[in-house]
Amino acid sequence: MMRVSARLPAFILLFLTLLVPLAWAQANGFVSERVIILWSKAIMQVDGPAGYTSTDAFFPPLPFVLSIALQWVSGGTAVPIPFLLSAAIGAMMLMMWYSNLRVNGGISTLTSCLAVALLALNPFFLRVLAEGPESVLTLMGTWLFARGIVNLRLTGNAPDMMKVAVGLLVVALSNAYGLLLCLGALPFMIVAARPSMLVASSVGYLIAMFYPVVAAVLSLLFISKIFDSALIPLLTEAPVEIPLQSHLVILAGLVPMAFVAVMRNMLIPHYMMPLLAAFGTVCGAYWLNSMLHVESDPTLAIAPMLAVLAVSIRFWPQLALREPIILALLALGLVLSLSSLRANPIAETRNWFYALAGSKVEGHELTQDVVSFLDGKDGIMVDVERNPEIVSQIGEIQNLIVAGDTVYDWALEGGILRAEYVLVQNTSDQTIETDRILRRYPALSENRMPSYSQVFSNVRWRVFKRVES
Amino acid sequence: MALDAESEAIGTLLLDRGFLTPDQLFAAEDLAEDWGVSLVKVLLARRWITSDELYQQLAYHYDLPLVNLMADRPDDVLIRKYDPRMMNDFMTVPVGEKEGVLVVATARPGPATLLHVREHYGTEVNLVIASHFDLSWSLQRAFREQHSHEAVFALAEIDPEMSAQQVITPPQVLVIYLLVSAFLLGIAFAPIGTLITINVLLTVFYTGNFLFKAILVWVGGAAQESSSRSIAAEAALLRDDDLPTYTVLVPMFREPEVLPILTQALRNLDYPLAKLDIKIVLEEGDHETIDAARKLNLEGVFEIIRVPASHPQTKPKACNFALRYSQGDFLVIFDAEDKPEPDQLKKVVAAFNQSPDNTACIQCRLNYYNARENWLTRMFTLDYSLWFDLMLPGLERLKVPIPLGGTSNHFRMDVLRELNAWDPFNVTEDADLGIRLTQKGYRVGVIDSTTFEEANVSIPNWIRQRSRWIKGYMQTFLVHSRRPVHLWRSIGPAGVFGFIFFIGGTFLSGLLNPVFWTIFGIWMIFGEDVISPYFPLPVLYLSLLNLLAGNGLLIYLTMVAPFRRRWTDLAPWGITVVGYWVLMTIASYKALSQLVFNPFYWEKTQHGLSKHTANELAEANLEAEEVKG
Repeated sequence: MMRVSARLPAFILLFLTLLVPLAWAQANGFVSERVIILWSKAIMQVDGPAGYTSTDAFFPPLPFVLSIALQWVSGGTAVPIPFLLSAAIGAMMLMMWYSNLRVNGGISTLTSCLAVALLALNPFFLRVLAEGPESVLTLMGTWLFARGIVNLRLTGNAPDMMKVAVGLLVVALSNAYGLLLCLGALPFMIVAARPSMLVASSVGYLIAMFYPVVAAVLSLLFISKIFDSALIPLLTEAPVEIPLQSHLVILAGLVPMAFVAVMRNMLIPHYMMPLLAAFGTVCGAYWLNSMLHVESDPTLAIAPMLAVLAVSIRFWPQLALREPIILALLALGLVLSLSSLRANPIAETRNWFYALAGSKVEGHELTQDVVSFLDGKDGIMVDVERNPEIVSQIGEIQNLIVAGDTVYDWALEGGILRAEYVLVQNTSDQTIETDRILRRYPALSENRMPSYSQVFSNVRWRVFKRVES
Repeated sequence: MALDAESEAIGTLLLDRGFLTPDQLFAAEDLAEDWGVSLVKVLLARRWITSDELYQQLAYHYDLPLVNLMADRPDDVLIRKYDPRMMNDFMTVPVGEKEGVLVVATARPGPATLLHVREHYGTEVNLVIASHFDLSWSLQRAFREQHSHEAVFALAEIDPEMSAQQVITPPQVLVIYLLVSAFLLGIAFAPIGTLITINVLLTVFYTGNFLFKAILVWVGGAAQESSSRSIAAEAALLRDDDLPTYTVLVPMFREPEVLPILTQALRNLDYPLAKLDIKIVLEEGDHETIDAARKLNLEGVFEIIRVPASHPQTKPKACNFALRYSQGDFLVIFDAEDKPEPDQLKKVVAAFNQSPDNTACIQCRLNYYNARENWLTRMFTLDYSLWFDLMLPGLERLKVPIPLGGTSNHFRMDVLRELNAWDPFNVTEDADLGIRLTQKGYRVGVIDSTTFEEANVSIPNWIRQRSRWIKGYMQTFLVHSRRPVHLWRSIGPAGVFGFIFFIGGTFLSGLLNPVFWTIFGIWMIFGEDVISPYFPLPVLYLSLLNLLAGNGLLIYLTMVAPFRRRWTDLAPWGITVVGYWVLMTIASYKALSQLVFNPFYWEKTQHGLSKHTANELAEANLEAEEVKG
């Protein structure tokens, strides 16, 4: 009880502190696309119309389940639910890092506090926080994994093996990019393994280590199939060409510091080898991502290296000046990360940086306009899965006609469109429509749909109203 | 400890008379000093001199007559006038009366015995010498009926609530009747609601079972590492002369072929052989094993206990009978084909030294020496690794009652006698005793020392063995759930939940699995519409979670299990554990059927089927010859 009573205030304080940069960025117009999608899905599942059925797969399941649970428990809040989750998981993770440094690493209280503060202030950590629970859980999963493989090398007992598995499972179930982290870990698990584990069978060792991830992915595919939802399209994102120079800028933020932290254990192979494996895992995943484009923002792809850094310093040998060097390294890492993110060319990360620096980021005003227009109107047909920002901005989601409602399903399956209002994206180009209503009724995009006339339009949205003939 | 004067004198006599060589005498004297026992005890633990020769020389040394109690049978009525425990502990038996003077036979002549005889038999006594075997056999013969009755009924008569003699009690019948009635009424008036309710209960039970096992493995895997090191360190430092007398019970039935393996494994124990009180417990009618044991010409520390035929013919009954002739401070049961790690007994003594005073039993781990023989032995090894290496330490850590495993459970003799030992009507008497110990306020510990056994290589044989275990778990569940309030008070809420999931979960999951497999098959073949009325969305999601995450977790735990022993080659076989679950289900239904129609029947597992056993046998014979030579 004492431990809980001592930790709860610290958790609450950290939680509130982590909400500050999120609120500041939001106040300046930045809410990440993933946060919007997650929040809108949670709202639709819990508070949406009774008939609503999602056609997207339940992926990534862990952030979804947590978001839905929190939405259900809280009954909805003005603060985006994913932000609350990000801050809560982030606070929990920082407390675990502190406990790991202080208790397991034997580092003094002051240095542990300062080290955790430097890690929390690192722009990569804040960027992860702003991206939502998917990325925060990926960071936490990487930390569990990295910690697990070091302990597994030391003890070889079942809980440490389970920690590695839990870490891999958390990253795989929290983020599509987590699957790449698992793939990245594959060759390095042998490097990390205790030699006695490989004597009987290295294949058996690898199968057991990766079984949870494979089983989880197969289970997701099975669920996706029986519920007739689409999982595979959710696993990759649109490829963004990034020049080598930009990659180097992004990598310079964390990789050198993490490498130094790992190599500090050079003389202790049973620490260095698993830490090197964790380092290699993140590098491997980053490299795979540059080819497979699972995570469109490479900043987020390399962010799990922060967890490797946190684990590495905990295992540093107790030599003279250990603590000052830890703080100096983390401070230097913070400066490098700041420089890296300042020069970051990726749009969303750049917007986040501007927002955090106090500049206004544009993008949501257009949606706010259409939401204002629709205020008080009922029977609005919209593809919420392709336009999630509508859900998070609109006040009365019960007024929406969505997948699962008879009017919506009939209209999309060849029946007559009967909705009072139809809200679609304003797409003037010839690209393939993602909005399913526009795909079914292309005449809407040309405003030539019989019985419907356009009553609102801006650069992003168009609203049509049914005209009684 | 220095050799006593009597031992020195006897040693000199045996040397002078040519029964021992100087080397043998020096070796025997060294052992006697190291072990802190008399020279006679050392000689009984070696085969340098026969038992007959030794007792003849003892009679000569003490100038007492040597009697042969097999030829001159003593008066059983006279023997029964005295306390059998006292006679057994001191190896003195009154064999007759001559002109008002009692004749007492002893196998351990000397000053201590004289004092004991004066105290218990009076001053008008003539002493004679008889062999340990003769005395023990005279006691067994005299108390045959009494001990046979006690072996079967002691627990049922003294503590009937704890005995499985009554399979199910009237209140339990009433509860089952009410539950069945409620189910039938529900089916009649609200069929869908009733089925949904049952579905919810079973689904929640499954989820709890999965989570409980995961927690056990997590907790159990981390436990013991530090305590193992300290136990091993103390065991290594124990002096032989400080070690207590240890009784080793080896119940056997028609297994003459594994006898040499067993005796050699016991000789290989790192424990003074003279401080072992080894009882090979055989059924009176099992002539082939009795003859095989005689032919082995075993050392004096091996004693054959012949158990009178009576119903039920179970291992616990045999052990209860043998317990009455045991002389150790601690007692362990080994199966015939067991190969305990040599330092196991010392580790147990160290563990008892380091444990709280209420520790009554230490359970060692079991595993198999023929793990890689076929699919079944691999699965059995994974099963045992999960159970003994990970789950039992988890139970110990969470203070949940531990169902003891079949062998290698080491007891404090006084507690075992206090609790009337094993329930002969329960076919997993060890599991039952583990729960009973906890209910009576005692603790069961688990230590890191392994006994290797022969894994079943044949599926029919495995099903016979497993069905007995599951039937025993059903009996144990029924016995200890008779007084739920008492159970709750004595073992606490964690203990009760652990008991339900660990004992109840083991057989219930076997019985319920085919029901859910069928539902899943119907869903896959006929679609969701057929099952959706009985599976509201939350229940469907939870069932799906059980199906995928729960079963996935159990498979994973099976794969994790062999890592502690670095048997990584076995891990991938964990994926096939589903086939093993099918066998478990078959065994569960067989167990249920036997519980109803033949509750006390002991399904005998046939040992010696493994091809490894032949090799073990050859090795054991070779080693025995070397020791003899």
